[in-house]
Amino acid sequence: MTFDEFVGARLPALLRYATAVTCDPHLAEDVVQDVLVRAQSRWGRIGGVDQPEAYVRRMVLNEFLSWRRRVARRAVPVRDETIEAASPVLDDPAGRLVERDAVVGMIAALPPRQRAVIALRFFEGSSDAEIADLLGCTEATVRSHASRALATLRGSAMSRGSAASDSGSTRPALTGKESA
Amino acid sequence: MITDEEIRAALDRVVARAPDPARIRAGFASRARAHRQRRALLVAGGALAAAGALGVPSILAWRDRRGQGPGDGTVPITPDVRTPPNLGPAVAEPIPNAAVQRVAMRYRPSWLPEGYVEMSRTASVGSDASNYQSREWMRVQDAAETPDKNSEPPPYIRLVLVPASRLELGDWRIPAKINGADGGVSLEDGQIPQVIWRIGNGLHLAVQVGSVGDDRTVALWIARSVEPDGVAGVECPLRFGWLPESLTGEHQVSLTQWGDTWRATLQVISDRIEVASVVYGQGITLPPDGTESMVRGRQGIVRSYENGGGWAYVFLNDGRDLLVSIASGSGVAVDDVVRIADKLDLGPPLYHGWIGQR
Repeated sequence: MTFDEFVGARLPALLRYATAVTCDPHLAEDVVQDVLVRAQSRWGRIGGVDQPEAYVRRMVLNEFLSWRRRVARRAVPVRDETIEAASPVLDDPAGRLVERDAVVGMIAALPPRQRAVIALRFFEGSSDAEIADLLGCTEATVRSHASRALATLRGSAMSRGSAASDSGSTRPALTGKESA
Repeated sequence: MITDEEIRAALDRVVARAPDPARIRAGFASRARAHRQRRALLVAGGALAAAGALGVPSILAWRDRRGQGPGDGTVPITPDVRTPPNLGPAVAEPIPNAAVQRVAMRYRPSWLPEGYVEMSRTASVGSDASNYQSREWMRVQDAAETPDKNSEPPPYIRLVLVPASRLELGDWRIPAKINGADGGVSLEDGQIPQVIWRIGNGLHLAVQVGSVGDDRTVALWIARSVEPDGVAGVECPLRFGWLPESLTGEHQVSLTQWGDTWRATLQVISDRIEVASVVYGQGITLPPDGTESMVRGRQGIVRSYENGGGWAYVFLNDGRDLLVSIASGSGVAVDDVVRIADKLDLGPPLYHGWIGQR
């Protein structure tokens, strides 16, 4: 398989994967483009492995989790105004749209490794062993990341619920949180 | 309470917003071209930096344009006037734990352009202590904000203490006095903008400046502000507990930070080439193609190279990564790479409060 054939066949899936892992379409685009540029220059080797797509997916994950990128990307993933712009209260008095996008926002606000574990487990359906292999850590570490992530998500949801009840508002009370 | 199904649904909604593949394909050619250009710049910059730091001037493209400075200005070679300080005096730094390996930094600038903060310190340790030191400053926003990956590397300022044998005062410079000492300013073309001067005992100091603007003039101003320090220090929580006899050389420690995480490095330098390195910090990128193996009593990943050398990685229970790398061709067996990692002394928390300060 040539590089062009690979891109032609697998780019959409690769972009979906990167979007799930990063929880950020713009970051996913950046990551995939960078990875493809690097993969192209090494395609002689990558194209010869049994599963080039798995290799490239690992590159995507590593790129997302790389130290420099993580530091460089320590921007706020979801801001209040983003949530507000995406959630017109008048059009959705029950706040369901707000609530649904708030879940996305909470996932996006997780630290990168936790975010990746959540995406790999819930979107890719990967086992802990597979995730451990991808992240280069133990299964126990994967479970630890998942546990912390779920606790954060559920804790955020509970505090959001309390805040909404206290204020009588259905808007999320999310504040910016660094991703790194 | 968020259920698993709600999480899956949320991820599905995110994925529904995945970028358009057609747009990626359309932009790929220009991205690849920019990448190649950037790599060329980095390689060239790295070569120049290496040449500047390690004294390999023969690779520089010299052109005698003495007296001409950057832009339309002229480097103020004379008079040799000390730069008025805009930084406060050196302040003693806390030493939270005497067990941590610490090297005092011997020199500091007393003047820096506004907005530049210290991000990195490197020093020789052991018998070569103080033979090589470097300190680096960058703009706050370059560490804290999203850089444009296709742009030039961010501006930097570096103060380097180096044996004269590594960084010679050749004829590739404009002679200049630096606070009375013999030195010189690099020529305009093909060289890293820097000012070098003798400080005695076979040592030179250099100020290297990149992309700050009017780089050689800024380098000269900084150089003329440099003064003894002795209170600032670099601490490294890493110490080799065992090394194969073949891995000899100068040991260097460094502590660097971008954003909100620090990284400590311990290197063995032989004949100006890194033969071993240990990196300790968060979010270290794992090299490819490793296999699982026990490292420091935990599940880690190792890889051996064909001609010896390799690396061993482990995620430690303090939440930091540890990566030990031994150069390819070193003849060191992978079991010994793991042994280096296993025997490594990891010290207590270190002081890094100087990071991000002027």
